[in-house]
Amino acid sequence: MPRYTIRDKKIIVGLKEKQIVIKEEIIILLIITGFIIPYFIQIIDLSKRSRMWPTFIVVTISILILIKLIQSISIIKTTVNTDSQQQADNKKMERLPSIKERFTLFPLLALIILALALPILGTYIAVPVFAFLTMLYYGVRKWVIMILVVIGVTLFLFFVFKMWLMVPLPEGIIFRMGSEY
Amino acid sequence: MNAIAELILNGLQATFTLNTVFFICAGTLLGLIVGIIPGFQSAMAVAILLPLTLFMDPFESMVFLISIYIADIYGGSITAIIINIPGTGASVATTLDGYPMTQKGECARALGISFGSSFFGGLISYFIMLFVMLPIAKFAIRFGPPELFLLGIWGITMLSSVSSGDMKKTLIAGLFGLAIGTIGVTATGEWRADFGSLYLIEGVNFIPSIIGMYAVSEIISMTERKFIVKDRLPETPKFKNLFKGLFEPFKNIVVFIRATIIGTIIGAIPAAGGTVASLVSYGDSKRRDRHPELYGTGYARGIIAPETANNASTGGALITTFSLGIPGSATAAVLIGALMIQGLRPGPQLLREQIDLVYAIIVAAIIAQIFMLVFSIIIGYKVVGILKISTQYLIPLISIFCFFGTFAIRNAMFDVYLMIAFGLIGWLMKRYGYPPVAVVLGIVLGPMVDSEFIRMITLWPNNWAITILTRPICVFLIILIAVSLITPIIRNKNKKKRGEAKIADVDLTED
Repeated sequence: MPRYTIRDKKIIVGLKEKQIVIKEEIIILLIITGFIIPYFIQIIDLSKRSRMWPTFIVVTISILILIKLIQSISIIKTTVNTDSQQQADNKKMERLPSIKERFTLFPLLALIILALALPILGTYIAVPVFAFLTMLYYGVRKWVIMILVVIGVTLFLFFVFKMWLMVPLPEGIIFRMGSEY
Repeated sequence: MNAIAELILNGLQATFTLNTVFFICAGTLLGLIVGIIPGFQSAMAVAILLPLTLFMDPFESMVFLISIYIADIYGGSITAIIINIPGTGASVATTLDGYPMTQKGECARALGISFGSSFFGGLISYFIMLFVMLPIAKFAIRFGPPELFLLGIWGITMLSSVSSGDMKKTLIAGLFGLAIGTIGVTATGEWRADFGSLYLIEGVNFIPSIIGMYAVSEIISMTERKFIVKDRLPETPKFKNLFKGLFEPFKNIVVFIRATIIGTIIGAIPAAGGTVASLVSYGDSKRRDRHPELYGTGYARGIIAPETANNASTGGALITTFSLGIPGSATAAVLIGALMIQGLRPGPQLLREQIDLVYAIIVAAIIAQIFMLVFSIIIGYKVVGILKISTQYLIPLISIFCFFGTFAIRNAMFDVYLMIAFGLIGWLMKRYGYPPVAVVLGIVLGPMVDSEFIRMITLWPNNWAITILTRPICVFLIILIAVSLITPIIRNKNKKKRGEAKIADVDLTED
């Protein structure tokens, strides 16, 4: 049964006599590879003129990614797991990101929810709710300031984006239904 | 010479009227606000406000729009320095040293350096415009596809300057950006790598990538600290420090002059613009400096070089706009539209028939620089207050501005999702030492290099390589590229040698 631990930005997969150590930065390489493969498939059928420069990019980046991948993965022979080593590993396990740390990506999640909610709720409902809940999540409890910020940001969007810069902000289904009646 | 002096005097007379001063002030303030909002570009602001100019005379309309154009770049630098979020593409290079200086507790100084460099760089660029408009325009027009292709390649070699140590990581990031930059319709009209999305036919707009890579990734980083400046009480901005910073370009006069020349020339070259000018200037300055290791740590020259160049590029862009009718940047293209609305056709004809108007506009742009400096200092000084606001409030606020700034590009939610994706990639890149600026550099230069390459091999299908070697500007650019590539290698070797010599010295003393 393999054992997984995360140690100093490295993912370690423990096997019987060997350990596969993978640097965490492999995530970046996998993301770029995930883009480059379909990109390459899409350029294959193009004319030579349109294909030359992208092909050069694909070949060069593939070589570099391959080198980095080889550098990121290493197999180490393990010795008998002593008690002290076990304790050290346990300590490292305790250093796994806490729940709070795991939610470092909360702003991204919030932005995705806002993007999904906007066409339904419309700017003038979704934005105040987004601002209010995000502040609440980050521990703001000063209600007066929260309300002022929510009103301020909504008014700013209305006057600067809608009135001055004439950006057609999404009205949402609810607003549109309201205007029909 | 007397004729030029007379034209300048006439320009001064036309500028110092109540109406013109009002339009300069209005344009400057609007430009600064637009510059501070991430995603909103001067080209968009100028295009949106274009209908207003129907009620103005040609001189007033151009002064108003040019004030927005220049002030936008000033505004973009304020957020680049204070919160690591470039308001415009031209301010991307400013984040490299501006934000680290803020982190060191010297935000006011960084802003002062930025304003001083922008002001004096812009001023000199417009003076150059007054006296050598035609020769520069004639030089810029000699840039055909091979020259533009090599200029782009020269820009890409700047990757070596933004390298954080591991060159392989920088190259991967840069090539990733270049690949993204090739998405969309090619110069031959073929649809390339659009992934089945209609939104990608025009290519990946660099605004969502910049906002994602810088702003969104910065928002994620903010969740780990209470204030923008980590582990440090927010600096109380002092006017004294800001004023000191204003004159720092003169303490680094060689860097400043070089950046002004680079900015003016690159600005004048069609399709280049402020982003390329600032990145090239930063890279050039770092390569020539005796202490390249200080760049990226909050080094004054790292702010002077890009800030001088991006503002000087506006003067350069207007040179080709007025004298040849060829836009040096996206905003300059909209300005051409504004002139045409007024019944004027930019180009040699405009210089022959309306030379007094052209000189009056240049003089007004010089005066506008002074207003801009004053407004920037006031607004910049106030914006520094952001440093004292808790990230609990900043995270939702900046998220909303980034969201709608991106959405406003073409009113598409697709761009917002693209921004979020770039945000995640940018955050991961920062975490694992891949420079996001390399991706941005690739996205900005990718389309230019790609389209000029296709044009070149279409025009000279069998002998494009020979063509490159027979054109003087191309040969000059090849030399520049070679120098850009070789210098870091020689420098690293010397560094290693020096390091080895030091170790040897220590060993000897120990013996």
